[in-house]
Amino acid sequence: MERIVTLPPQHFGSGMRETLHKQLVREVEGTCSGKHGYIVSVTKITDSGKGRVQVGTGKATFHMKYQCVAFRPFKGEVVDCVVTQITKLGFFADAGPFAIFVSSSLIPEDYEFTSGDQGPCFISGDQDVAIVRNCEVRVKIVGIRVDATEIFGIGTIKEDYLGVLGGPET
Amino acid sequence: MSDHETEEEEEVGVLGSDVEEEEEEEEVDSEEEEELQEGKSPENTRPRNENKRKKKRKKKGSQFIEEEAMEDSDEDEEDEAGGEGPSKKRSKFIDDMAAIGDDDEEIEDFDMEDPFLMDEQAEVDAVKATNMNKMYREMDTRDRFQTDEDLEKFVQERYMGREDEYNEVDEDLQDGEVGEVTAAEQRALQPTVRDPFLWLVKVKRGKESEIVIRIMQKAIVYENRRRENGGKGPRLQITSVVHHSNLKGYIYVEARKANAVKLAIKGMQDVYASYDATHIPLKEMADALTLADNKAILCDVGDWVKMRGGEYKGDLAKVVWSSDTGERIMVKVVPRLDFAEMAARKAGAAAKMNKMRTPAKAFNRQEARKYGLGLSTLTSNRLGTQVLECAGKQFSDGYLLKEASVKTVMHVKPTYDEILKFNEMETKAGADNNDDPDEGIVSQSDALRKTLQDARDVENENQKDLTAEKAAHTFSKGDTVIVARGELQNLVGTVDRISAHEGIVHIKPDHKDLTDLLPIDAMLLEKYFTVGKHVKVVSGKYEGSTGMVVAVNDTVAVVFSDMSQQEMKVFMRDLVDCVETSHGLTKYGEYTLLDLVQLSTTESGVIVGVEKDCCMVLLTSGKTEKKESKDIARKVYASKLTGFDGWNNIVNSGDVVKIVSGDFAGKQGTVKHVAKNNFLFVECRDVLENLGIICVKAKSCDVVGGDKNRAGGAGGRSRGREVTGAVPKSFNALQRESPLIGKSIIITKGPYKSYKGKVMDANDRMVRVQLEAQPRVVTVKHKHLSKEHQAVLRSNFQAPRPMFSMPATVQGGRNAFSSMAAGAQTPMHSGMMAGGYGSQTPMHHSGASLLSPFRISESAPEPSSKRGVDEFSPGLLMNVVCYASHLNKYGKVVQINPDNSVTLQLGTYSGVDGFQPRSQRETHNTRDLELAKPVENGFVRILGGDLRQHGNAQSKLISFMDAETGLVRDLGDMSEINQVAIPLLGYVVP
Repeated sequence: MERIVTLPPQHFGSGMRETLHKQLVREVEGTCSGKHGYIVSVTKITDSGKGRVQVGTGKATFHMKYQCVAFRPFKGEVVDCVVTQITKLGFFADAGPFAIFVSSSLIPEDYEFTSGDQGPCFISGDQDVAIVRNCEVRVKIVGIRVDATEIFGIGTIKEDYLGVLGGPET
Repeated sequence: MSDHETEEEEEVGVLGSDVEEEEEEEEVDSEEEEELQEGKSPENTRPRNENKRKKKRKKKGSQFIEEEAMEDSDEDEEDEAGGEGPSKKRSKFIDDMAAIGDDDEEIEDFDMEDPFLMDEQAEVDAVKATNMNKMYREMDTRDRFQTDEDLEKFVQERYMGREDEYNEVDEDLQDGEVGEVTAAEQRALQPTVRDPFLWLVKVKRGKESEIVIRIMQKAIVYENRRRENGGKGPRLQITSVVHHSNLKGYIYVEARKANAVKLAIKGMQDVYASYDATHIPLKEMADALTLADNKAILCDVGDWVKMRGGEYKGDLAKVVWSSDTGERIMVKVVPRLDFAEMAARKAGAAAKMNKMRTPAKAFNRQEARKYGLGLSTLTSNRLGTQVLECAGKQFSDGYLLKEASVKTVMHVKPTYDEILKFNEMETKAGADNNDDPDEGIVSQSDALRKTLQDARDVENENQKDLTAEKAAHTFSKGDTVIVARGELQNLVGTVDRISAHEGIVHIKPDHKDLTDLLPIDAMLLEKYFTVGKHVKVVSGKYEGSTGMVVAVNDTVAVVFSDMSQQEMKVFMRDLVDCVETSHGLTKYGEYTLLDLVQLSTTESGVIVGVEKDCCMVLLTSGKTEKKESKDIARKVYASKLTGFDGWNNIVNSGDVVKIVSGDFAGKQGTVKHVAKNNFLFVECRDVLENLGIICVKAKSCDVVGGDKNRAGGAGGRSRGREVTGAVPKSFNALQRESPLIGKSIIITKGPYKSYKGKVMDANDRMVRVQLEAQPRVVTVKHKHLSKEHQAVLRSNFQAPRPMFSMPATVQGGRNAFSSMAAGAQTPMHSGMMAGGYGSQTPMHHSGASLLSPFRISESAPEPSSKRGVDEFSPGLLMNVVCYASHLNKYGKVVQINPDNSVTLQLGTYSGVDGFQPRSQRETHNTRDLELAKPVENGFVRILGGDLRQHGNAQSKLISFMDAETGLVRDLGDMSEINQVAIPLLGYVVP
């Protein structure tokens, strides 16, 4: 991956490379692009490039090349995630930075929405399994919407081997 | 009758010169003999002649008739309501008498004036008499017609011959091909001034046909009398009488003169003679007698209709029965019953006027019983099924069965929601009435299933209307389609090319063996969406919204909206694939989504949803209400309002606030708008309702950061740093500082000279004084106060001048205040200050932008005198090098003791090499220690001021700007480069 990083003049000097690297890390980590998904971590900076001083501002721009760990969810992918919010229409779950909505129509029919003592939850027909806030679920992504700054997905647990993995972590 | 016959025998073949009159007589006969089909009302046969002249039915005409009918009905009701008191009767009588008198006179005048006419008249009479006789004879023969066919034949024969001129047109008309009749021909058939005129006579409702017959009889009686008197005596000079079934309470009389009409209705019962017969203008004559055309509105059982008027106006209804002619229908609607009123009416009370519309809800047996309304089961003569009868109304499955004329309904294509709402009633009815074993509970899912079925039917209905060409237009390139019918059924493909005019869509099949493009009739294709597709709604309630498909049900897809986080049920045909996201309608007239709008002087809200003709507004009360444009007073543009948070910090729009109390406690969001009364509209990402907008009291919030340009009380606060405590506003700070505040003073100079007042605030040049004489606060210069007061103020504000000076470009006018400001407070009224607080440097403003990832934020410089270590929180002193001046020893803090003392690891210190530790340790009270001056490029910790660092955080002292200020970079946040007074820096040795 490549990125042009701008560095103000006061950083010029001995520690410049270090600052530049930090600057890059700060700029790209946690961002999201439609093509590559979320950039989780910069693993290596392969080339910092040569700085070019901008006329007028005195800042220098560096064409940097780096390697990183990215998280790009795909349709059909099965992810483990943590339930963040439960509504009548379904529940929201986060797989890291990636938010997934599981509609009630994509939850097995025997699950029923109730708002009990521990907040709203979906309870399975045999009362065995409950989807509550903070519990872990395994979800298959059926649809993805990619915005400039965010990826949002629709998931299903209406298939074999999908569903609740464990209770809420405390 | 026999003598008539003989007479007529002689006259056979003589056609009446006055055709209308003859027919009129015939009508009388037919009615008298009561042989003709029963129910064949006069207008069916009689106005035939008249109708021959009219061509195609015109809408205008029917409207006219309806209007008339309504008018009439109103009047009728009035009459009934008023009762027929004696006085009214009397006046009627008098009117009648007057009319009679007039008539007589006029007729006499008429006779006298125009003897020639009289002769003519006599001639006509003669002819007429013969015609009449002939007719009577024929009437008689009609007895012999045993069957309808015979009768029909007879009628045809009878009219064929002499109405040739009309027949052509007639046939054309019957075929409905008006186009073949030329305009000229049509015009030739229009009544002219030479024809008799048409008069409208008001009669009692329901008596129309009777009156028509009576006028006929009258005509006959007059004729007979004339014959007996040898051709002398008055006669009715009318040519026809007609009544129209659509026009209740009126009859038409065709005559040349108004007097003839008067004579004809003279002495008639149930004719409102007090109303003059109205002359129908020539132009309207044709329309007045056009028969209503029912072709356009015919309902089949199962059709969806909407009621046109009455209590159920606009309600969706389903046709359950229609009469053979299609004129009457029975519909089932969701009842709007007011049981209380029904019960009251049953008890004899009058109908309530102007009552509110009762909400629609399913019929409930228990409720009906509660009000003492008897229920009974009967078999509907219309439906042939068991229905429930209550207070004269019939119910089935909770729906009201309502018989109506087709004219009172209109065909509609219901939306999914409407159908669902309609069908759900059955569920409710089932649930409500479950005490009856005969009525099973219809489950919710049944209603849904039924709705889907209905929706599919509606779809199919739509499909029927669709031509292939139209169908082709519904697709666009790239659409995923499925072949719904035909031999390739269930084949999925993508649209590659569309030949709209042929109605053919070329699809690229999604199949491993089929690789060629297939041309397929657009009619056979349907749009195909799989779960997870991102789609856009192109029509209907949710038009413009985008979302992802979460479920698919034949024709209906459930779409999870991108923006509102709600689910929408949409017909598949209304969806298209799309990539972008949008919320659908965002504009409501001049207002846009998320605008702050003023509803009334006290109420304002934010638009959180836009529908076609209304918008949802989140009010300051926290409620969301539907508002129309008339409810919205105005849009509030970039409001200058600011709020104050729980710590009296200024809150502007764009600030990030944390909500600390109330329903939304714990949430954090960006302030979208500041409304009156210290309300904030905050956008929270984790709130699903109202687009994430919530309304909170500013007092229950805490500003945690925000707009870089804020020039408010918490000016020096660095980005993203949490507020650590109450930050008083400048004048609040001053209140504590200046001894003058709260005192009563007299202004000695200036415009307010000799005013007395209380000092509210003070700064280095001004004081704010609340005047006693006037209810206002004025700002007064120090020099306008008395000498003593000036001295007090001077001592307050000007005494301890800072001993160092900062470059003005960076620091602005800040140092002027540093002596009294404990924590770099920015006074509100910067305009008063030398330099002003608005003079934040450009560097500062650009601080938050990406291009310049560092910023210099001012930290209030402290007085230059060495500060004792005891001024700082001991918790921050770890690893800080201190100087014990009484011992002339340097040491690094290695341990912090609870009794305000620290243990130092002693060492040597020089400004160049920094601190070199030794192993020796000593414990000293912080009182006795000073901070060691940090070395350039060494590590430091900011121990005080606004930028105070926490715990073991470190900064790097990049350079000294001057003797008293250093440039410090925060190692935790590389973007932060701050100017910090050296005395606040502790030299840290790791």
